[in-house]
Amino acid sequence: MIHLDQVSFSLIHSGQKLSILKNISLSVAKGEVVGLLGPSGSGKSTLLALLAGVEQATAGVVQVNGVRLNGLSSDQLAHFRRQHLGVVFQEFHLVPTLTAWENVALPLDLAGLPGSRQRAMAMLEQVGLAHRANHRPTELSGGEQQRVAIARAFVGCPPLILADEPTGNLDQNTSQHIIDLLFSCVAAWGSTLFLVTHDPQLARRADRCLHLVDGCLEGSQPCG
Amino acid sequence: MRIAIPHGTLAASAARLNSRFFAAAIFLCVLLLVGVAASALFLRQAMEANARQLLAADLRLQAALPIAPEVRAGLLPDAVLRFARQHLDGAERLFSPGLEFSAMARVEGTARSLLVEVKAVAADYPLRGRVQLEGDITLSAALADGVVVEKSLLNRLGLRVGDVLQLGERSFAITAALAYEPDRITHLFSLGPRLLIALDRVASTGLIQAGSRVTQVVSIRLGEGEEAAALARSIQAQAKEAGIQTRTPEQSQPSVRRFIRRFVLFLALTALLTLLVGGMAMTGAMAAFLRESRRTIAILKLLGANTGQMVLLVMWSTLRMVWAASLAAGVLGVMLPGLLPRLLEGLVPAEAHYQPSVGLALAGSGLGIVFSLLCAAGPLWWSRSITPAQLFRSSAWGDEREPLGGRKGVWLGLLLSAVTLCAALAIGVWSGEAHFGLLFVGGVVGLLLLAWAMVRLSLWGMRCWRPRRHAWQLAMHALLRRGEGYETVMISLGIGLGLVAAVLFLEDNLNQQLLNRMPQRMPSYFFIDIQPDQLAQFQSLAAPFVASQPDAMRIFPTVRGRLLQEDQPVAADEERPQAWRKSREYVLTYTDNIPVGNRLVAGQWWADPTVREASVEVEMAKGLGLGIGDLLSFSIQGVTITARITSLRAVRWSDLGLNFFVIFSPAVLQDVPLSYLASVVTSPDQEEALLAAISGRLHNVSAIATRVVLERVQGLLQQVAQSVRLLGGGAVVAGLLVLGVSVAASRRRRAHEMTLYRLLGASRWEVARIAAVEFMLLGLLSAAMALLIGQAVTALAVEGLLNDVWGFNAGLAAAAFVGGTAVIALTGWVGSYREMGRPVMALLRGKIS
Ligand SMILES: Nc1ncnc2c1ncn2[C@@H]1O[C@H](COP(=O)(O)OP(=O)(O)OP(=O)(O)O)[C@@H](O)[C@H]1O
Ligand SMILES: [Mg+2]
Repeated sequence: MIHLDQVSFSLIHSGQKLSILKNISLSVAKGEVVGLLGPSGSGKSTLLALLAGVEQATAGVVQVNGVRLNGLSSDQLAHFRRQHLGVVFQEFHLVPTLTAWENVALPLDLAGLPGSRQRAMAMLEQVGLAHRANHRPTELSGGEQQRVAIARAFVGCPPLILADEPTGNLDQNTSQHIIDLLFSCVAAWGSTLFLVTHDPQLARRADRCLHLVDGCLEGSQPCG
Repeated sequence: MRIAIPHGTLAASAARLNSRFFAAAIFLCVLLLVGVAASALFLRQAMEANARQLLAADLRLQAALPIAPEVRAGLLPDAVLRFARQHLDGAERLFSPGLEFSAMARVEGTARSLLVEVKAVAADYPLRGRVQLEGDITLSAALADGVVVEKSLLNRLGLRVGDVLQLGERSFAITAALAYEPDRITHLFSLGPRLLIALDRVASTGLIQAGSRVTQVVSIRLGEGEEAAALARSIQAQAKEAGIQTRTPEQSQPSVRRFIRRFVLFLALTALLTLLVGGMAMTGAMAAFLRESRRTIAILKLLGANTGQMVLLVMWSTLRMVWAASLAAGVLGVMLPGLLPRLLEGLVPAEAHYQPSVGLALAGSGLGIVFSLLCAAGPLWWSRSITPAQLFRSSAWGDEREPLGGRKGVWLGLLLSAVTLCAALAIGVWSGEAHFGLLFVGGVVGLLLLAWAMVRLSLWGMRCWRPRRHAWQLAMHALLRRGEGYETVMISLGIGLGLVAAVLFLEDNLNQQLLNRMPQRMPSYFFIDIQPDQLAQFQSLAAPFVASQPDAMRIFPTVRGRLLQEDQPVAADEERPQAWRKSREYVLTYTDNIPVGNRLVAGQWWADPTVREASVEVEMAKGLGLGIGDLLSFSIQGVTITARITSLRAVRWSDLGLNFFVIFSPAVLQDVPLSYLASVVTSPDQEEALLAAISGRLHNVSAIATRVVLERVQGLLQQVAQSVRLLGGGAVVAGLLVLGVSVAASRRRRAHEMTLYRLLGASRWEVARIAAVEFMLLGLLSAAMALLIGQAVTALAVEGLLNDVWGFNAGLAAAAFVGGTAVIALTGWVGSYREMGRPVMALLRGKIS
């Protein structure tokens, strides 16, 4: 599903080269749940951005679900994301002007798929928010927003889900619900999940964990 | 491509304000452009539809030829009529002779008198169109029993229909008031109200004397299917030979047409300036709008939106913002000429009926929408830099740069200027005034460069300035930090306000020049057609009223002559008076000494009055390609006189004194029948008595009151100024919109700043003062720039176009400066007032990010 080969990412900032990711190689099999751990600023989110095709690796090869992302145009990358990817963020990132169901339907609409409304409603039903379908994000609690975001990530049945600290903004109880939902969705759709987290409890539920320190992968270790 | 994204996706409440600015700017631009276009079309239609009527005939021959003594009793326009019979005779053609001249109308037994424009007409006048009289009377009935006059004459002489009026040696009953005369607008300026009289009665007035300024007219109605233009062309050569002008409906009132064309062009170009500033406001608003929506844009891109979809979405959002405003402005714009009839008053026949054009409204709205999309294109291009990668970084949303900061503003300014200038040039070329269009384009380029340089300079100056007061320091820091974005704001405001200031200053200059100088330097009256045997009487009659200053009364012997130039092809170009028409009639005179107000620029004034010499005004000489040593020939009543040019003179025309293009030495005009032309300066309270004294005794002498002429000129100028002021107001509003956009865009940062000041111990009052100082500095700089622009434009116009000395009115300048500063400062301050009162806790809770 995911193949990274000697991937590096660096930025030029005020004339200085900043190496953020260094020589990362990894493979993730289809259906696997991988946890990514590491201190703040170690480059976890940057790695997700590379996998999502919103940043381009400065060196090495990034391949996701058989698509080689290096050198693709921004429109080709957009097309790739439509077909292969769902993303869940710590800050939910819902469109504030759209209702819950419209947010969920957005990926289908962008892909020009028919029946987006029914599928979005069905998906909201799955995450238990059918009764809030016509509410806007500001009228929803954090947990509810994250559930909408999860519905949006899964609505197109993408083979890969990227999650960047999905419970970082939620309380213990809600977190538990969200994680349960996420994992049950992954199980139901058979998706691959790449999960960034600080939460050791959450990490323990992954098939395996990767540790990122200072932009370097410390190798696969048992989780927790 | 299908766009299935809900259209309201890009309409975060934070962005709504910007969409309102955007809509307001396009409303303003479309309104002004469509309003100007509608007025132009209306004027043109009115002119064309009424062209035939405006001539009151199909073809008109006219000449200011003297009336031969032997036919003076019959008083027919003999020369022109003979010419018409000879060259244009045809079974189906009708000839209607007439005479036009000015004369004094008096009220018997009183001192009241007034210069009137007499039109003596035959029974079949008018051949086209209809004369409308007030009351139930036909023209032929009215002229059979007396004369018909314009209402203003009744008002000014205190008469009513039925009263008696003196004209020359005769008295006439006023039988009707004139409501509408088809061929009224033959000149922009008329010297007095119209008086219609039957042609066969003119002789009895004794007004027609040798040398009288009389225009002989023959109106011609053609047969079915005959072409006036072709006919006019066929007799062109003979007519020129005979000194007769032909007029077809298409070429009626060339001066009015030219004036209207220039007027409209001027309005169009001013409206384009508004478009330029409005375009800046719109692009700024759109950039701010997209920046407010950047998180949504990033999310859409993350979810797989491609370039095409983003473009469509932004274009859709733009359409949603502007369609209503564009349509409303288009509709209102085409109604403008109907709503503001005063603006066009006097330029279109009273009969002309305005009909708003749906097509124009739609075209204007469409153009507005296209322009909006154009203005959205830049910001859309800049929004490429919004990437979904920012979603992975929670801190990436604090970026609040000015929407039009730095190079963007410069590029935008260049682009919009280029678009506007191309449009200006296109309009100029299209309306046959490419020269004017080019001048405008040059002016705008200069203006923009000047404005930009001044903004740069003032920002640089502020950087070097270290005020001691705390509030000033903070305000200046704020201004400098936002300096990049304020560049466009200042340029926009400077241009908008500058335009208004220029109109104000120009108007003031002209007023000063025309009216205030009058009592000291300008003659109160010109008396024309004084016969040689009346000269002594005239002098003794006028003497008691003449002001005690040198040259208060000046008298010149005059005669009309037609310039002859055998060696060059004669190009009578009616459309361009400055291309000195070579068969033009001139008023000729002779003097011993060079007249006051004239300055020799080349050659020598004659020493010996018995030598035949001529002195020519320098501009005329340039226009005709004449120089010292050339021979100058005039045809005076059929006799050719010739003299050698020995000097060139510069004349200060703005004094409105008696001045001549051509002056001969006494020897040249020795045997020519002359009449005298006098100018008299008197004190304002003596004017009426002087007029009464002269017109009571010398009936054939006409008096032209300078005040009346100037008031007419001024009225016309005011009309132009009014329209330009209206458009200038539009440009100022557009400039304020740019300011509004900038204030709105920096709202959050400003709130953050102000709340931080208050957290650090500043009171609300102090925070408000800091903001006030910031906007006052902005206002001061912009107003200063506007003032400079306004003065520069005025100085150029007055010195360059009017050849006059430009006067600076400190009071007016100060008023404009203070007013401009106040408007800008208040707008900015009120616009950011809400940000001053945010609770300090909001900052601590991170609600202001
Ligand atoms: N566009 C950028 N410009 C400058 N620095 C950047 C940029 N993007 C990432 N960085 C830097 O790269 C490093 C890694 O950032 P990243 O967001 O990937 O860390 P993280 O592991 O996700 O941290 P956290 O756990 O706090 O979310 C940080 O030091 C960050 O400052
Ligand atoms: Mg992170």
